Amino acid sequence: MNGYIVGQQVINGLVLGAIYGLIAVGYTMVYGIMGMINFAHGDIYMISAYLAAIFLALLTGAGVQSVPVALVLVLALTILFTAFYGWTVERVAYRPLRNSNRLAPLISAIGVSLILQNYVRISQGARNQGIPALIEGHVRVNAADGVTIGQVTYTQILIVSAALLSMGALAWIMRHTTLGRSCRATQQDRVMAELLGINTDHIIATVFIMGAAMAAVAGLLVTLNYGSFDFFIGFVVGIKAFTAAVLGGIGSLPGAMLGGVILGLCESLFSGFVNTDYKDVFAFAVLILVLVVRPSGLLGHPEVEKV
Amino acid sequence: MNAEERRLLVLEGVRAAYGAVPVLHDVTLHVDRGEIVTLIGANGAGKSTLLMTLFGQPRATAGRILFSGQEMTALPTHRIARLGIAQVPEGRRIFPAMTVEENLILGITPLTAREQEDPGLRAALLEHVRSLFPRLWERHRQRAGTLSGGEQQMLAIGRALMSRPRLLLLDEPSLGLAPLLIRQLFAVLRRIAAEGTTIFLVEQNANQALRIADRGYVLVNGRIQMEGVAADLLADGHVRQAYLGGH
Repeated sequence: MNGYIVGQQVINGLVLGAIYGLIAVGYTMVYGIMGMINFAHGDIYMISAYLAAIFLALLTGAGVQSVPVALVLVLALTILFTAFYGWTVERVAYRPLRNSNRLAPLISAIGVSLILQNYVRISQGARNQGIPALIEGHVRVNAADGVTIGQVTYTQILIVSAALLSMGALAWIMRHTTLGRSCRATQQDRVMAELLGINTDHIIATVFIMGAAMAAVAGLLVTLNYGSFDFFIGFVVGIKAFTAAVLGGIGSLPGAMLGGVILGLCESLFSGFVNTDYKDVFAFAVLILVLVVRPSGLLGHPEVEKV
Repeated sequence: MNAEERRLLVLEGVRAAYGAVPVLHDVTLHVDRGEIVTLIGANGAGKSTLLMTLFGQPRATAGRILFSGQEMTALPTHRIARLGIAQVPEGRRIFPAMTVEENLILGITPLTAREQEDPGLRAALLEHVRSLFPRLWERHRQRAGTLSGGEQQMLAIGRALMSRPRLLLLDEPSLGLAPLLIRQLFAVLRRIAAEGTTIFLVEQNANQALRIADRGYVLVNGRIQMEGVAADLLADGHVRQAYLGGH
C-alpha cells in the first residue's frame, strides 16, 4: 500500500469528519431533547455557508484587509445570524406543534427544509456561488523515516482546530453550567424539569440556537475549504451528518463527534483505495453494520433506565 | 391569624381530565400553614392527578387553585415551583443519568438567580439534605440511576427540599419500600414538618399517613368523600374497612 495515499486520506477523512461532527451535534441535541429529527438542520448549515460568503464580501467591501480579523468577524456574524434562523425555525415550525402527535413536527421539518432551499434559490440564484481562497499554503507531514506521508493545508488545520474548540466549548457548557444541567434534565424528563421550575420552552429554543451555531462554524469552514456551494448542499451533508449522529448513538454528544469522524474516515479511505462513486454506499453499509450489532449506536444508551 | 390567612393551599371546585376522561370532580380542600395533611384513596381514585393538576399537568378545567391567597390556576408549570411549592412526584422521577449531587443542585432552580449563584446558600442547602439523609450523601458522586429504590426516594425528597419550599407535596413516597425504610421515611417527614415546612401527603398506606397527619381527606372516584381530623379518620369504621385492611 502506498503510505502517502493512506496518510493523505486519513487527513482528509479527519477534516471531513470534523465537519460532519459539527453538524451532527445539532441533530443529536434536538433529537435528545424533543425526540424528533430536525430535517431542516442541513439547510440551516447551507444558509450559514451563504451568510459566511455574504459577510466576507461585505467586510472586504468595507475595506477590512487583515484575513484573521475578517475571519473572526465573519465567524461571529455567521454564528449570530444562523442562530437566529435556527431559533426562528423552532419558534415558527415546531413550537406550535409541541403537543400534537410525533409525526406532525417531522412533516413540518421537511416543509421547512424545502422552504429554506427555495428561499435561498430565489434570493441568491440557483448557480454555484464561490469565494476566493483566503488561506494559502500547507505543511508536509513526514513519517519517522523522513518520507512524506501527506500534506495538510492551513485551512484543514484551521477546520480541525476550530471544530475541536467549539465542540469542547459545547461539551463544557453541557457538563458544568446551570444551562447545561437544565438541558440534560429536560432531555431526561421534560415534565419533571418543568416541575422543578425549568422553562423547557426556553431550553428547547436554546438547543436549537446552539445546534445552529455549531452548523454555522461548519458552514464557514466548508466555504473556506472548498470555496464553492449552492442552495442544495444542505441535503447531502445533512443526511451524512444525521447518519453520523445515528452511528455514534443519537442523543449522545460525544457519539455525534465520534460518528462524524468514523464516517469521514470511511468515506475518504474508500474513495482513496476503492472507488469514489461508491463511497456513500460504503458509508451507509458501515452504518447498517453498526446498527445490526448495536441498535442504539456506538455510544448511545438503549433507553434511559427508569426504576 | 384568621382562618383565611392560615390557608396555604386552597382548591375550590377543581375539575380535571385526561383528554376526554374526567378524573377529578369538584374537589375542594385546603392545607393550612404548618399542617401535615394527607389525601388517601384507592388506586385510580385520582390522587396523583390531583397533585399534578396543582402544577397544571393537566390543567384544571374548572375551579380555582390558590397558594397563599394568590391564584395559580393558570400559571405555567415552571412558574408554580417558584411560588414555593415542591413536589416529590409519583415514581420519583429522578434524573438517572446524572449524579446524586447534580440531581440535588437541580432542585435549587426555583430560587432567584442571585440565590442560585450564592455558594454559601448552596452549601447550606446541601448540608441540610446531608443531615437528613447521610446514607444518600455517601453516594453523591454516583449516578442516580444506580441507587436503590429507597435511596432514590430520599433523593427525590432531598431534591424537593433544595428550594426551601413552603409546601412539600409527596406522592406515595412509601411505595415499594421495606417496612423499616417506611418507618424511617415517616420519621424524616415529621422532622421536615417540625422544621416549618407544610406537607401535603398522598398515600395508599393510609395507616401510616394518618398517624403523622393533622387532617386527612378521602378521595373516591375523583370526589372528596370524607374529611376530618386524622385521628378521627383513623378510628372511623368505614375508613378502617376500606383503606386500613379491615377490623
